[in-house]
Amino acid sequence: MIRKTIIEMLALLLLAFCIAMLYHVLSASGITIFKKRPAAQPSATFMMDKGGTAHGG
Amino acid sequence: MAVNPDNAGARIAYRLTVLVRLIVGGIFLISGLAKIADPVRFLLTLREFQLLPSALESFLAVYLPWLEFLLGLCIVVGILHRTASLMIAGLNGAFIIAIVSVMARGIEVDCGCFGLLADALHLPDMADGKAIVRNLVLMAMCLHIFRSEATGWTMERYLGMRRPERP
Repeated sequence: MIRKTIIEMLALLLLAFCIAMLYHVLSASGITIFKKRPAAQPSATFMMDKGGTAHGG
Repeated sequence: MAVNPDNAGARIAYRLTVLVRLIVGGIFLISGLAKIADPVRFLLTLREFQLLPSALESFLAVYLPWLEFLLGLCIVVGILHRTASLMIAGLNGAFIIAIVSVMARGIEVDCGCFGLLADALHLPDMADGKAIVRNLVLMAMCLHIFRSEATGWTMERYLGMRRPERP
């Protein structure tokens, strides 16, 4: 029972490792499942707070 | 474990185990996906904990979300769900140790439990006492799944990996 559980645990750990590495390699080569979110831009309010204007002038 | 068909208590326990499986598995499935979608955020969270070497943090930022996703999937669909629940209980134990560690050092960090979803759904995501209680509850639910041999709606049954046990 204990031996079987340990073998199943190792199998799950290995499977997760394989999937994670496969996804990592695919992501590095430009194939992604999830779209990358664009970097957050500072809002107009934030610019005004920093002493500028909403138009950046 | 043979269950007496006339025992109403056993039937309730049987259905309760299915419900607990769906809750625990669903939580880990979704939280895993949320971290997979934004691994950089999860890496930054791991760095804030200041517990692990940098190389290990990078590895875990890629590996841990997939492990959570896989274990959650195993519990929901019912393949190796007892082993998966034991592993999730172990993961929860590790999370509790990490949270206690940052609390003891007086560092205020996000626990990173739900990744992107924490912002989107305004979920509680601070590494504090509530996170410890949440992890303890999840751990208890996992141990319940591990101890209950009789449960329904498992893929193992349909694949013929285990003999059917129904109250």
